[in-house]
Amino acid sequence: MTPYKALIIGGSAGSFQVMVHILSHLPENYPLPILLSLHRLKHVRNGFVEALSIKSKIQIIEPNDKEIIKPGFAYLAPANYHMLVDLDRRISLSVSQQVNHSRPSIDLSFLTAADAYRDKLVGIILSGANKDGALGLKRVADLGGYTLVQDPNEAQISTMPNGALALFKPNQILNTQGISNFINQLKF
Amino acid sequence: MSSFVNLKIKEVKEITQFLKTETQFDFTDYSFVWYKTKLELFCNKYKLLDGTQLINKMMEHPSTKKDLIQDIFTNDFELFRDPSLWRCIKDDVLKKIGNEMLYRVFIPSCHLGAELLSFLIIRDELNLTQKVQVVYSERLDHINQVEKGFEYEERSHSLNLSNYKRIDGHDLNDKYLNKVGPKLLPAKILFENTMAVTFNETIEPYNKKMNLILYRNRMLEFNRNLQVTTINYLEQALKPGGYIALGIKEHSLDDHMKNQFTIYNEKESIYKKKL
Repeated sequence: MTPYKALIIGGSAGSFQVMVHILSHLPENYPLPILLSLHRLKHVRNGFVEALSIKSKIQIIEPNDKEIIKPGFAYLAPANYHMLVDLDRRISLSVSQQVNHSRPSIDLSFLTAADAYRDKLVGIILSGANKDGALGLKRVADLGGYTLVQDPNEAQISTMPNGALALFKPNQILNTQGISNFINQLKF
Repeated sequence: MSSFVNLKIKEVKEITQFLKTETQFDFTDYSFVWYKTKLELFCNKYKLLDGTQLINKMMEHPSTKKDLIQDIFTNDFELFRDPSLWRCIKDDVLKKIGNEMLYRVFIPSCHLGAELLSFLIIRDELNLTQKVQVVYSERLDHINQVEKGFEYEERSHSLNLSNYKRIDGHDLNDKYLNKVGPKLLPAKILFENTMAVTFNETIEPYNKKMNLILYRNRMLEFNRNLQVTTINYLEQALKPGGYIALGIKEHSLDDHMKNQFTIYNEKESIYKKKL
């Protein structure tokens, strides 16, 4: 039985294909909620969920504010909102100023999810062109969660993985297939 | 920056108590994670390591209290956020004004004024300035600053004039906004037939009846108790048949609101008060 209660994944430029690969290899009854904090065009409301859903067997939704986080769903941060996680494990959206020139900010999603799930959280940073997410992933590690970083040698753009690696040593550095395998074995 | 301040729950409560005692602001019923994140961002900005250092700084430098409150309430400055909502306001809601002598619009907690300026521009374009009175409010006492302009930092704010183009395909007329150095100055004509008030919509109902209230994304900041209280006050300030626009991701009160409102446009989160 997995000791974890949630998974959070952050990514930016170059992470889309990795996300599609991960989601397409998850079984329909995957037991953990997955929080996706991905940089995206802020004025485009529709299309991203649909694109990620094409090969995914689990349901991907853009949550409303105060929505309860349930196992078996993937929650994609809506365009132009920060997606935070409250201590009662509900989604809390925010239109506060951009952080790391980004909204959603991966850091804010990770920082707050780490507070809510502490050592029951798995945090993963993928390809991206800025360092958003590094501080958040470090807090996941500081609070006892498990941390993964996409191998910078494989990442299409390595700034984001390298940003995290410059701050601390994650539990594992894996390529796309390795990350996918790791996530899948969490169900046992 | 190699780490991000992580305030403990106890520290957040101490700061809340301090602000409640020292200012008129009580954040007890605000969304905890939203509020905690705002406090942590403020601590990072001023290189404060914990809640004690933040409280000490506010005691040593009283102006810090005002800076903190202002930072807590400050959101992004983005004109015409969600262009399809503005298209709906322009081509649908305002087209239904009819023969009313005076149409009143209320924009509570207008903060930096992006929502206000967006509406005032649309009002002017539709030649409704004389007919549509706009009341805008702020919980802080700097309400008139909106009219005086806004320090615009390109990298941290998304002025996003391309939003406007998405409403009906043409560029925003230059006459509405002048960029002077780092400052954005709204045209004086926009503020005709407007009224600025310092008012806290979370603690009492406004004393005039409105036809339209724009309150998008403000309630993200509240916990459910304060959301219910506030929506009840706003409902009292709305005429029967009047509209209220909430944020497109604010649906947590749908169950509560169904007795008083019908959903007018679900996609844009526009509700209509029952007759």
